[in-house]
Amino acid sequence: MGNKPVSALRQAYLCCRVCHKTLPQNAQEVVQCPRCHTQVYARIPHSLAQSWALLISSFILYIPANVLPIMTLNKAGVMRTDTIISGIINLANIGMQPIALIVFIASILVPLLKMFGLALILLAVQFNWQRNVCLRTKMYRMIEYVGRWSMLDIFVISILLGIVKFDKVASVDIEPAALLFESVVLLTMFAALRFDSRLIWDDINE
Amino acid sequence: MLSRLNTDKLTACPECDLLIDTAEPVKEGYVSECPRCGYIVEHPVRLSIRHNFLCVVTGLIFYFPAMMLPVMKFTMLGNTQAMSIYNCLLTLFNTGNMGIALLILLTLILVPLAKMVLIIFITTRLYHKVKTRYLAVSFKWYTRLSHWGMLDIFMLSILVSAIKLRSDAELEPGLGLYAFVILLLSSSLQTQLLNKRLVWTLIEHHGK
Repeated sequence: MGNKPVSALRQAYLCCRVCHKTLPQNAQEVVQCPRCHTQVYARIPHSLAQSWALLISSFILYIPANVLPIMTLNKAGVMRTDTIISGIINLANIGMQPIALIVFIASILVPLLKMFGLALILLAVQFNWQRNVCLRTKMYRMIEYVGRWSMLDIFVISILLGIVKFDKVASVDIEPAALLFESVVLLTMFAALRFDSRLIWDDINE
Repeated sequence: MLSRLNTDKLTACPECDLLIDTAEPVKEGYVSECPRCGYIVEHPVRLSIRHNFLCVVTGLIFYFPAMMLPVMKFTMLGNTQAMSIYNCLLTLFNTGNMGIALLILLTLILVPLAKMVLIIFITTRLYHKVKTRYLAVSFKWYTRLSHWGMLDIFMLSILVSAIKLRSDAELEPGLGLYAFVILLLSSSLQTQLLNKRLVWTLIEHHGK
């Protein structure tokens, strides 16, 4: 390779985060994108700090979201209260392993991988780790794409609440963990959005 | 329509900020990737504004049936309950689950509608080549909102809850389910057909 890849910022070019237009950097700090009229920053301001704050909050909420019950099913007077994990185990026990697997992936595996993956990426930027940079970019891309799917369980509970309404015969109640889990998913989604993926490559020695 | 996307000689990769030489045009059907992180910088496909418009009109026709008509009917001991998305939202509000009700209101009801309205506005303006300053703002909001529509996840949730309920009592699909499937298909087809980079270039040329 003849020419060594160098970041656009070091060559005085900015890239608009919204419409991806490449602009020459002026002397002044804040530029407005001529195409979409958004303020263009070299990097999202306070990106790392904000991502950390959102991610740590999601870690804290993740514990009660898994310990507390997520819903109560009342079937002919018999109450059954489930947490996320016990609901999945129950599904597997009554012979619905494929569905149990889908719910397991969406509500346990994806949030955990996402939170630890994002923490790893943030740590790497913070401490300037030099290896596996490309892998981290791909991981970030996947985290951004896959994060929304954790809302699956929340929607399933809402559907059950909306359809199982037979007063004393059968009914569903939503318990506190549902809102906590929703907050965890939203916080991790915001954490991924606030993170500027260009930071991954900024201090890499070619 | 236009198939040449990039009029700039240099492009900064939006994901890793590598400055890429894009002076040479990419042939149609080929993809140019960022050599460092693999981000697809240019993917020249033809953009049909009319196809986008038609997808959204189909979506809008089926939007209200999908929201109001029952998605599933559940029969237990002679009693039948029907569930539509709108009903579901009301039940959530009435039982005091505001947080989840708001999530459903935003991601299933308001965001998909707002996206369709914005696309109708943008495509008609681009088609008639009307200059307005709102074009850039609307497309900016469209790109921001597109992350938050969750119709596809709700579809999977319908399947999961149907299988969960199947053993307890009789379950029947309602008309709303068919409308919802059409809404979902037309909206994902429209997303696939929309070439965001090309729309930005068009807006730059005859937006304000």
